[in-house]
Amino acid sequence: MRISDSSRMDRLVSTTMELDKKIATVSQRASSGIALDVPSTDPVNAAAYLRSRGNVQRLEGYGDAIRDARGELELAETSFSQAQDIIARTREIALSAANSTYSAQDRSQFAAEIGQLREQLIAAANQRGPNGYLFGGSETETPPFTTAGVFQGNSEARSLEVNPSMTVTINGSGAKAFTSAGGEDVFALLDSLRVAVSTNSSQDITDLGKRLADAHAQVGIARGDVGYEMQRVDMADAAQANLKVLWEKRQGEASEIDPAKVYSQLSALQNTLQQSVAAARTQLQTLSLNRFG
Amino acid sequence: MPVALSNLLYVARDAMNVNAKALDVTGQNIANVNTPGYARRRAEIQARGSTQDSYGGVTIGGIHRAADQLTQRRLLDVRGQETAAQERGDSLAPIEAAFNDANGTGLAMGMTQFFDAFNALAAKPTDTTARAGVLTAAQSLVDGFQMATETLNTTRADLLAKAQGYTKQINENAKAIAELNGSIQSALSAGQDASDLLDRRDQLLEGMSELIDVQVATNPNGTLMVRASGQSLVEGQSASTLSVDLDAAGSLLFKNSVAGSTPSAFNASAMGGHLGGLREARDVDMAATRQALDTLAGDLANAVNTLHASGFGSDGVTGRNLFSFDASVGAKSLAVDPLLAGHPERVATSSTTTTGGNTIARQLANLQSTKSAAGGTKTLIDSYADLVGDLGLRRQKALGDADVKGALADQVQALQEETTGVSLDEEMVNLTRFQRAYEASSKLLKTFDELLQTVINTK
Repeated sequence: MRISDSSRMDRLVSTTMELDKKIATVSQRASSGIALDVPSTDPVNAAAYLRSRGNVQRLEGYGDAIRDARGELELAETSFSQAQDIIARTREIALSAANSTYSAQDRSQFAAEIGQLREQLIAAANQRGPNGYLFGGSETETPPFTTAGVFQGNSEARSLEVNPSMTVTINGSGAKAFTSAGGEDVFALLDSLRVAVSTNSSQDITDLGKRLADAHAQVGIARGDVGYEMQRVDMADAAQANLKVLWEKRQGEASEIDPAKVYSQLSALQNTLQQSVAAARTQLQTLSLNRFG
Repeated sequence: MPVALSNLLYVARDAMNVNAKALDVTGQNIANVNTPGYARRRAEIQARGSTQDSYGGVTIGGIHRAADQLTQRRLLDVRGQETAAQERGDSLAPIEAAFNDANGTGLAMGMTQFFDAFNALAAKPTDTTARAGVLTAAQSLVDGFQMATETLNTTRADLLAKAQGYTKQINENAKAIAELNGSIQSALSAGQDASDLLDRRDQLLEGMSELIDVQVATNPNGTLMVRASGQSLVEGQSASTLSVDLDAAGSLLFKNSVAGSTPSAFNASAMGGHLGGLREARDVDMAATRQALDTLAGDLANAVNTLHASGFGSDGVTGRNLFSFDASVGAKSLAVDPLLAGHPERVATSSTTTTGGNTIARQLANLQSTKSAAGGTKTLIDSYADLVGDLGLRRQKALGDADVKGALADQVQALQEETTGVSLDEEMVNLTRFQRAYEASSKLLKTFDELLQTVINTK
């Protein structure tokens, strides 16, 4: 076999260039930590990376929804709790006022306190959150209850996706908690109680006191609904965290280098290049000695 | 049988001439060791038979040019395949860079931000900033589609200009080969050495094979017939002219005309070389990417518009699209609907006229995980991932082919070099051999001179 000089030189140059090229690619990967320089490096993993990253970002979006939902639900829970405290205090007044030994002045004071509690209850039912009124359904820009206790919201549930298969209602129902839709019209009940206390109508006071117990339970049911939604938010939060770890791992597997593998490749290529250069030098020296020595 | 003493003089003279010529050939080989396209020469030294009419001795039968047509044709073939694959891969590089989400380009981020904006709006449906955020994210996504389309269009336009440059080179090469055909034919018919002309023609042929696939046939008179994709480029001393333009669909349209004749369509479907690779990248790969991008833009616009039009803006109006899109134009036509641009209150969030409703915003955010693309079989991001994966596969295949064909071409080249290449080792040996033979011939002349002197002195 004849070996021409140009063929010999071309081979030396092409071998070295090829090794240089490989070393540059592997060095780039080692320094950036990214295995997917361009999609053609590994098209299957490039597509997998996009899907995984899409999932991670979607889960991060759910994280925002979870924070928003939790914020609104906690506020609703607190407001319902306040409302229950107010109703409980009103019921205590009703129980005391049912005792006929109180004077007219005492009853007047009871009636005045009931009026104040009613105002507090209106305030609790008209609680505002970061995104408007909490208990007016989708009517978030108008107070759900007028000062007369008339409900002017709607029963539309506002909900958020907190994971791919779970939607939570983030607003407690004002209608269910405070109006006859839930059983008792709580504000009308307080108005009646104030009148009954003022007129010393013992039987009415007793009856209204019993109905206040129902109203307390009615708000408790609405509060329970909110608590249930909070539990679901917590479940979604835990699932979201686990899923995010899983997808982040897959995203990393699809796009990031295996440091041990890459450094080992780099080291092997550098050794090969050194050997190749040494072999080339030997060849060139031998040729020079033979021809011109 | 008496021998004329003078014969020895002529034998010595011819031997010196022959070895000097052989030294000259060796010198030519050494001088051209690094000349591209140079095929080594060998002096064909022949013994001249000693007869009654001839004094014998030595002569040069000719200068042999080492060539291996079979290997050369094979090299033209694989080199064309290598350059086609390399050109295809290189042409796709800017497109791949436009869809390289791992490095921050591409549409994935824009799509996610768009759906995140609806997620934020679902949580705060009455928040004007969140509404404006949707329009900003929609515009960013539209910009991403426009940028990708622009990259495709610009690259395709660049490739047309490049194809025109290649055809110009091919035409120049074809013309030069045709001219060389004439010169070679004349030289050979006059019994002259045409090696330099043949070197030049082979070099042009190799250059041409990198530009377009060529099939070569040699005529008995030494001229070449060069064809590409089964159509004639060079016929003896006549070269045809290749041209390229765009057809009605925007694909490359090649035409070929011979000596001023009406240009005829040139079938490019099996074309190789740079031109073939470029055509494959431009009219097959990029066309597929463009098609996928148009489909994705259409799917996005349809899915978003269907939901958006069913909802109400905070101004209580329904029935408005978020995007405008013209399916006959494709992704380039995707835009935020002019009715919505600059009007955040027109972004639909609610399924009723109440301002705090978020049903539509929530459904729009949820589109991210809904199979609303490719006829309801994939999510939008999956469809986009397929586009990127397909593009990556196409370029990976092209670069892989280029590596394989390149290695094969290098092997064939080495095989050809075995025949045609100059080995300095071999030439150094020849140099010594012919030098010694020349010295010996001189000695022969000196010996003749001494013999002649002896004869003269005897008288």
